[in-house]
Amino acid sequence: GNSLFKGFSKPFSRLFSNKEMRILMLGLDAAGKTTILYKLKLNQSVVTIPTVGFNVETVTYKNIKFNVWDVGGQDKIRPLWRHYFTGTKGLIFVVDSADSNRISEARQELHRIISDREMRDCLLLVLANKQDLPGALSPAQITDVLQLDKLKDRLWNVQPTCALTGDGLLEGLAWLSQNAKLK
Amino acid sequence: MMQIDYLLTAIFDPDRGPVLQYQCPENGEASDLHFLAELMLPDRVHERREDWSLFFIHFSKKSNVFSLFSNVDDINFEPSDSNMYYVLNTIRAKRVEGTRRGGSVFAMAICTTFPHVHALKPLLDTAWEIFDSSPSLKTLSMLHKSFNLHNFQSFYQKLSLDSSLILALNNFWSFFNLYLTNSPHIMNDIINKDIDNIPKPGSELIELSRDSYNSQATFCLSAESQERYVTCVIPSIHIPECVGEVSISNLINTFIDGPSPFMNTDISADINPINVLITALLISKKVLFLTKTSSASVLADFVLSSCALVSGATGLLQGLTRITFPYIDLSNVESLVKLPGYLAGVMNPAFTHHADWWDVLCDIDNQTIQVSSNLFSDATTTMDTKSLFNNTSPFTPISKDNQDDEIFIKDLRKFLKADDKETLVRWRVRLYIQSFIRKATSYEALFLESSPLNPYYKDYKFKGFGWSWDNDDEKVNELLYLAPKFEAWRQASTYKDYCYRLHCASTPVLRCMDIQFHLDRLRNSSLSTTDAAEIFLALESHIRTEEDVNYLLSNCPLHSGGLSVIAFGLYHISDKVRKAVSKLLNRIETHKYGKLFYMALNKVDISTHVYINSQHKKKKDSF
Repeated sequence: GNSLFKGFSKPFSRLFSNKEMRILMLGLDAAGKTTILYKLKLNQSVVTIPTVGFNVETVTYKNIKFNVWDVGGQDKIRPLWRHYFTGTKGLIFVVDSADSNRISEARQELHRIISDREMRDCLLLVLANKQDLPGALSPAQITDVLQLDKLKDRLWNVQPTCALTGDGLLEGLAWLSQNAKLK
Repeated sequence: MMQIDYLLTAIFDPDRGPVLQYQCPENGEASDLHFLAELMLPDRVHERREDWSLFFIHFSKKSNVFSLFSNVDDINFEPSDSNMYYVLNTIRAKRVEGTRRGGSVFAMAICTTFPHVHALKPLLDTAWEIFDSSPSLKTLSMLHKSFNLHNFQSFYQKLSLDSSLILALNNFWSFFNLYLTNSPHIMNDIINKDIDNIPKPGSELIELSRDSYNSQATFCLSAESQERYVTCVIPSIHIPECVGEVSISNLINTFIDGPSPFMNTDISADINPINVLITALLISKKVLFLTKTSSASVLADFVLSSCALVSGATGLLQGLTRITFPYIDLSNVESLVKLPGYLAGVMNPAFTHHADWWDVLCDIDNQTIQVSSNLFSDATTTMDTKSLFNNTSPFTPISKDNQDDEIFIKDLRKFLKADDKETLVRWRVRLYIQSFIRKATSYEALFLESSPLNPYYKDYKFKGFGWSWDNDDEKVNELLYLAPKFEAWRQASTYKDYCYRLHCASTPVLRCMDIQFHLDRLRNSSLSTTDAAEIFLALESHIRTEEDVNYLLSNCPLHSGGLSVIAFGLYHISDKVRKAVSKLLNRIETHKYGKLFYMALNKVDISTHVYINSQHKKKKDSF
């Protein structure tokens, strides 16, 4: 019985197994990346402290295993972001929509990331986070200041979110899963 | 005076990232330790409440700066330039409600040349508590001051490597408790002789008591109107390359039953992961330890144990610490991967996404060792690299399997079940590395006509060296089979270091004969009486000084028979041999450790020795 089962196990597991997609989540420090990650993973708003290095969690949504890497965003450690590019299928770029002072800094960082050769085929999902805060920029305004219309040969989307309530997060994942070219 | 050279704190700044906060003392460029911030705050430490780590940094005398990387000359072994420092680091994640980012991560480290830095952990933890209650440069410098009321040199014995090995490889206390339950005082006497020679501790020291392996030291830390007493247990012997609380048995136990390390390559080789790990480290490949779930302290234990492992668990091979990084992060990866080989621990699986960064990956969480498929992709080196690991080699005319490797693994499995597993495993690992070195010596002598590994064999007063085989065919076959491994090792820093140390060796007997070679022959039952006679006579005539006896004893641990291999000569048919062996035993008996080994002989051997001595004396008297 055992050997028969073994013979079948491989094609079956392929049939039922979830597809996988490595996602890199970047953004300036305090944009809300870690809160988003754990809201997605646990559906809870956890109290975070600054991320030393990174967090990584697997989030399953619509039969796709999203392997989400949340990497710390402080100025000094941004040069390390590029080491995470290899094999990344989607970039989630998180913006603090209420921090208008640093939005142009965010724009520079975003364009630096997606101009890297290793990121040329990856999807870009911008999360316009902290929509609950007064003075938060709208998705259209974010699109404008991040100069996303300039991008060529790139699938991108801006999704308004509030990480604390989870509003908009699943819509973001849905967009990624619809547009992902999975093997 | 050996000191705590630097005391430092680092913080993960919510706005900037990892930064060095305070450093004491701070004296200009030569003590710039800012690069430590990233290493002091390891990846994902925000998920744990506390952690600690231990790593090495190097001070280059040439360029007058500290660096995580020992300079290239040094790796290629030019014995001069840099000094190695040990960094012990304690880490705390603090959540503080109401603060802007909800808290952050802090670390405090000591940087010193004191090799038993890991034993100071209780001291560092207390220092952190004092600092944390009033964090300022002033508190830090007061702490630094009270650390350095002690001379750390006084906490361990300045012994030769052979003497340290004798103490490390023989658990005298348990041995004599088993066999001589009534006379532990003899042990005390002998061990204490050594202790008397150690400089008396300073008056600042509240208490210093000592047994043969550990000493207890009590420190007083005072700063900011706090006074705290901390006791640390400090090992009293130091063996090079064995840093921290290494557990080679735990390292081996973790990986020995893992799947084939060649799963992702096109080679089918049935080689145990442990053999792959040792080979990779011997020939200076890029070896990466990874954990996603364990702490930095667990990771450090694995890396440091691997370093000790390839040293033969006893400092037999040295120099790997120069390229060992018990924790390293992405900010240092560019310099790391430029090294020809390294042994490093990481907590970030992103390292595995870059197959060109490593040759061998040891996954602690899954207990697997994996060889990179990249290692075999370069067409020019494929043949060579394959035969390093493979059990069939293009050079082998007659098939010879990797029997020694298999026996090694079998023995390890057996010893892992023993009570005294760490001692036994270390001894077995030592034998394995020793046999590799000895075979390499035979290889050099046979094919290269001279051996940097043994510069003395041509002038030996008593012939024979290297490994001993039953016949020449077997010898040539095995050496050809191992040739690629030897050639690769000859390029590694541990090889160059070994040659250099042997070249400088002062033990007289090393220049006269190969003791290990001849002890092996004596242990081989098929040796003829005439050959045995020659060996016993040579041992007696060349083992003369205290250092010589030390060297002999370091090759005869009690758990593998001790001196019985020598005592066997007391029963030789030749009167001359019996007398010589008796004389040699007299010499050993008056040696400080030799006495312990002598007492461990069985009663029949001892009475035979006493009898031969008395006969000899009678004859002398009658003349």
